[in-house]
Amino acid sequence: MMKINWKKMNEKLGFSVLRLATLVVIFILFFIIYDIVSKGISSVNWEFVTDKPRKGMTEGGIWPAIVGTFWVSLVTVIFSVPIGMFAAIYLNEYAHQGRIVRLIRLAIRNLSGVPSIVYGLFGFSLFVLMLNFGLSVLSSGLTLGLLTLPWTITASEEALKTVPMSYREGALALGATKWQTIRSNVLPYAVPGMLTGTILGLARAAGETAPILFTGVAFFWPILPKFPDALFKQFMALPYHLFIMSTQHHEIVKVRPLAYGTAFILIVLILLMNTVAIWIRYRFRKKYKRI
Amino acid sequence: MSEIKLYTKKFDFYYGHLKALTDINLEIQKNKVTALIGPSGCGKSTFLRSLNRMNDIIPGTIIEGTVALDGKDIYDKNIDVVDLRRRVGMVFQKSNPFPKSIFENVAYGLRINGERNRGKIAHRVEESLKNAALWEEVKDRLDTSAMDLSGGQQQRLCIARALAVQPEVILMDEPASALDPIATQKIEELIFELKNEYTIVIVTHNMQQAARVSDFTAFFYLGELIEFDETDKIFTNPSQKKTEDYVTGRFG
Repeated sequence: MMKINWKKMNEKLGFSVLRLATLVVIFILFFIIYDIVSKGISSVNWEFVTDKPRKGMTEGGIWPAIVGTFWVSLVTVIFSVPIGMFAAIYLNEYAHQGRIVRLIRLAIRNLSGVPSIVYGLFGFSLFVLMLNFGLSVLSSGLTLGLLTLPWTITASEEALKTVPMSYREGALALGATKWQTIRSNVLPYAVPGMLTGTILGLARAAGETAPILFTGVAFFWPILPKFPDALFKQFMALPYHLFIMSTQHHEIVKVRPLAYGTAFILIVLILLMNTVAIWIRYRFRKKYKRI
Repeated sequence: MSEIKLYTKKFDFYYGHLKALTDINLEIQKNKVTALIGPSGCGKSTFLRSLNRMNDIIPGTIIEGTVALDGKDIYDKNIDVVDLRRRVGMVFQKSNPFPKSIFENVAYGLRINGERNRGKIAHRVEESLKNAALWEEVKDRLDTSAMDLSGGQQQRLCIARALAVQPEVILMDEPASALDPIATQKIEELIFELKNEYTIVIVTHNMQQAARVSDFTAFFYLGELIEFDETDKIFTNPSQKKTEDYVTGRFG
């Protein structure tokens, strides 16, 4: 009799701990969202999104920062998505799975743990100084590209691994070349996973401050340069603007609502990207379950 | 009279340091069914996968000796392995239809081999499905997913897919092991039909199946070929004690 009670007690206790942990996570998440929305929503309006900062950044909007973040993210995508995906395909499908590939993989995993400020320093010395791109959208985009590469490669490799070996064997046994097999029987089923991982990595990059701090972001740069000139100009970006507005501004208390408004927009943008990632995954999963 | 399609000579196979096959000498005759039997882990599947070099995709495998198709060593460095696999088709133990439509599954091998003519493709798909005894069951739903077929239908689809590229040899790795008796019977009848046009090598755990469908039987044990002879002889009057013990069910 005692024994059974102990078992039940144990079970209840275990579940309570698990439930509590989940509740703590949800609470923190909701608290952050509530805090930012409640303090930021009042300053968010059409003008805030589409206007330049004015009067020493105590009024006006954040449009240049949105545009800057967009350009930098675009460079990041163009640089890191193809390289990351191709590297993953090579590592997972072509490379001889020996000690060297294991070592490369280990190095890539470790790179994803390197602090972003270190990437910033590296990007500064490589892109800004050595390659002479200067403080610019290009330098920042490439630096963020380096930052996301390990994520892109790892996510892409994981996606490739989920494609059953039998799809590959079946195609090879019919006389398909390796590339035909990969193109027709592996990539179509791996691409959704690859995209999802890539977008999540990009969302992370878009919110990074340290790497762009070294490589091109500006305190105040209200000019809206046109492509491709924008590539070699400095820029404003949402995360850095947020940092400035909340810690460096000469009238911090006055611009606090603007800082929260910026945080709100940044979170909305990133949520939007994540939603797109989830949507892609959901769509493709449904598609390939059926046909 | 009888023509040798495939043979191996002093064939050894290693997974890294592990020797899986030792000194296999075997002759496979054209338009006959050759069954490979033996207990699990005896190397018969490894041997089968050596015949179209599917083991190449497993890292760290090493071979020694000769495997020859029509007298030509298939491990020679001048051999195009892609072409070899088109000539030596394979049906796997676990049916592996691609997550495409029934039509596209069968057409796949044609398309990757460069066939563009829609009429030709449609014709060959129909012919292959008929030869695999699946046409009547699927002709009205060629555009539906192959994943919705039953297990037995999926395996016949995989056979149709292999037939579509018109191979000379078909390797079957326990093609009916996951199927119910009725589906198994259909596959066996099919094998019987197919040997008029193809040379078939089949791995099976099912002794009755080997006896029913094959002309020749090879008994493998611990990586060695113990005995190879006409199926009747193997099952009624084997020359090796081990073979007799195995086919009569005394071990394995």
